[in-house]
Amino acid sequence: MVNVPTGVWIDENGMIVRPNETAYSKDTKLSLGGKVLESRGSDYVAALRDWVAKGSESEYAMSPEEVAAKVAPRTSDDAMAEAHFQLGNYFHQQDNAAKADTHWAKAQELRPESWNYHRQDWSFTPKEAGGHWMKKFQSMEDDEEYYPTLDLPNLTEK
Amino acid sequence: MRISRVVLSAALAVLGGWFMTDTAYGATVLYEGRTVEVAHTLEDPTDLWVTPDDLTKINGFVVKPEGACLDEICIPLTEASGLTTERLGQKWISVTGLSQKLNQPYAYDAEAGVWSFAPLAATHESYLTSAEAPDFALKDREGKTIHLSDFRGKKVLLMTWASW
Repeated sequence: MVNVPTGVWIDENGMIVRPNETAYSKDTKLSLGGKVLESRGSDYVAALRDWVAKGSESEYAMSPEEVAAKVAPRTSDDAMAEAHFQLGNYFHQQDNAAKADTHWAKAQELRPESWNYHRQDWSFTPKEAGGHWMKKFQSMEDDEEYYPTLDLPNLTEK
Repeated sequence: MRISRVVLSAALAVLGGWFMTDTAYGATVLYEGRTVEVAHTLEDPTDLWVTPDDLTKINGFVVKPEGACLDEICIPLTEASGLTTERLGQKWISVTGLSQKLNQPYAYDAEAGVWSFAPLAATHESYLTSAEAPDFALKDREGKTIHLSDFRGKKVLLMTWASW
């Protein structure tokens, strides 16, 4: 997860028909230091309404195979990062900041692309969090998207 | 709060070592969002050895004649496997050895005796291939526990958001 809000669609049988993705309710566009943050909230809402009305017949509801293809398999480093992240959380709860920082740093080292691990760490230094975020945001390559483009057929062609 | 290992070792030395020093150490295990306190483990700085009962409490695996089993997964516990040992009339299972067989990464803090295991790949991958949403439970604003499965029969939009 990059940022809130995000949404997951689950049908009446407990099956995911759209995995986690950016889920704004209105269009937004923000310029920050030469880079642009943009979200297509109106398209997302239109697609959501279509699914509510049509269910599995909606072109925005994915098949199990399409959902699986959207969810990247977890690598060994991803899994190890999660193990260290949980250790960091444990030591934080035990008021052991030094050990918490050690394990959170390891999680970030193993998964540098994960905003989640960075955000958890930044949340404990709120005054510096904005600066940390901006630094990481500015370090993104020009062809990198902060919010991944929504996969919404037909709406995308507008 | 667990007694530090240094203090405990000194105390045991004074007592003449009659206590079961092999099992003097406990451990804290982080597994699938749960924190499991294990009272007795074998002394080993790099591997976590627990009793069969504690193995089940940690990861749900049950020791059967065919091995350590969870649902359709069974890992043989033969002498050659290196996953089991007898000590002080008690059978011990290597949780870390089992995880290695299952390609399940883990991290640990030896000084604090805390072990953290990544989600089991077999379980995680089953969700990826079936697209079935894993069930989970959270408390609502009134403190009532709500499960995702409570909403079967309805479409669900599961959102993360913030008030700002």
